[in-house]
Amino acid sequence: MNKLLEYPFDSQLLMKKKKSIKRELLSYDTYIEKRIAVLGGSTTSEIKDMLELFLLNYGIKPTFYESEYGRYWQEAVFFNEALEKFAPEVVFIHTTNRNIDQFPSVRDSQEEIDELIQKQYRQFAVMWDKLREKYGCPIIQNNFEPPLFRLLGNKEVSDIHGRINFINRINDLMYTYARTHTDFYVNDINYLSAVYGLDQWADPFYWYMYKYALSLPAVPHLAFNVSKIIKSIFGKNKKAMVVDLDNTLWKGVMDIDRCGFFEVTSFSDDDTRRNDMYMANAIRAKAEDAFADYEEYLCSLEMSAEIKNFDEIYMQRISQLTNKTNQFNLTTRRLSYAEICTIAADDNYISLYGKLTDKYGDNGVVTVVIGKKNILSKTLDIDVWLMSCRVLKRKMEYAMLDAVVERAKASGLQKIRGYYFKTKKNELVADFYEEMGFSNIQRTEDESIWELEVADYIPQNHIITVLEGN
Amino acid sequence: MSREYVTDALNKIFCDIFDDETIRINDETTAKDIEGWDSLAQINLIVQIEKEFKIKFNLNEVEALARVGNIVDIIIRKIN
Repeated sequence: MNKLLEYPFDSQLLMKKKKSIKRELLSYDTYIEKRIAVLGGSTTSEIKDMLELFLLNYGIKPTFYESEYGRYWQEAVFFNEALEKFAPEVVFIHTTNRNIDQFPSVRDSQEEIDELIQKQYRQFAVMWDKLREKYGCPIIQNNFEPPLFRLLGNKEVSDIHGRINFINRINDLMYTYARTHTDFYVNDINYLSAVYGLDQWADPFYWYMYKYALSLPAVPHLAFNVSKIIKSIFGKNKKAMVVDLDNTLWKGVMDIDRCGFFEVTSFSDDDTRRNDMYMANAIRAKAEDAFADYEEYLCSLEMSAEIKNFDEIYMQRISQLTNKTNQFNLTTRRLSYAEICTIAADDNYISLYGKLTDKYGDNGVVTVVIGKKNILSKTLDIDVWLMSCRVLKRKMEYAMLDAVVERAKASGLQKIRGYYFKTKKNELVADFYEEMGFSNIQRTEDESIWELEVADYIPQNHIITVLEGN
Repeated sequence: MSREYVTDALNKIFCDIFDDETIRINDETTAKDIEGWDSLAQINLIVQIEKEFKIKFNLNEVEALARVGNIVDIIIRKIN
């Protein structure tokens, strides 16, 4: 056992020393190994790292599957080869109130709000049911924490239009699900955030910086709580109980209440459960799988895109994207603001940005393509093709290719040539051009070159409404 | 606090975060020079610096934190 990982721990120190602590813990070797899938509605990287430390400390050596950013729902609900191969032994769904996509408005009627609550809850219930059916392993699900601001003051909690009221009601449905389904565990971040202090927990700095839904120094507290649940699931509790009792004696009652708790995950009373179960079934009968197939889901997002030539007001953002994007980036060319301006003004280039909006809001500029015209060979060489991870698998790339082809044709070009330069981080797009319908003309271990004849091209996007222009 | 002092303290943070006692940073050090200094490590770096120097960065400053010289500049400006 590592002293630094015992409660009460210094979370910043843990984060600072995480590499050396991990090294030390791995030097003991009496572990059981477990595969844990972390499906996140926000960034989960640090959560995974911290969870690993606490689990190692309990004698559990985890291997992780981490969903792509924010895609917990899609990865759980739709066919997911990688996750099936991984065969998780626990699924942890890290969602927060940032993942509630609609709150009541002050003018909504009681019925409309009831409906909205059902709708929000059903989205989650459908996902849990799918996970249970596909993977049959324990699910750990965050409940929802209170929002940081109270627009209606104290009425937030009692008025049906209040967000706190809304969140509490959704939580309540989640608890009913937990009571009526085995192997379903609520990770109570509603409580954790209160104990930690909601102001600090929800510090928006970390959201705007890296899309963490809680502040970084709070992450170890969250991870610790999850590790306790996992430990109890795998029956590692007995050993720890002795330690906890010791804490009781020496540190007093507060510690027990706060953290030296004994995690009870197997407690059920079939008789009292049965009634609840009927109710949940009735609710679920109504919860038809809202979206049977992925395209239908995409259509439901009501996406529209603006695909245009580089524009003055977006130059800064475009440059930033070329410098920050690592995964969906075919050539990883980094371009300064000045270089972007030069390219925008040069007729030898076709340079396009794409903005994507869906029914939940405007994602801003999320994708960039820069092609250089080669008049002699009548070819457009794609120097830059990148897309922000936020909009992966939205089919935005097809809308971009349609626009690129159209402009290439208008410039009298016959071919589009794409390049993939391998880096440590862009494995994701190794087969990108192939998926887009290009043919391979050259391939080495570190790069590949692809071509597309524009004459044969049939537009591929039929999901996103595109506003084109100059 | 002198520039040397700040750089030294910063160096210790780097050694801890990247678990490498041999790291020696200077004003010109950037993410390219240090194995593992990516955007995920960056946020941890920010948390540790904020704690060590008892300061708080704002969003505008964060962009500049990709080079050690800039980090030191901002720390000095904030603590003086």
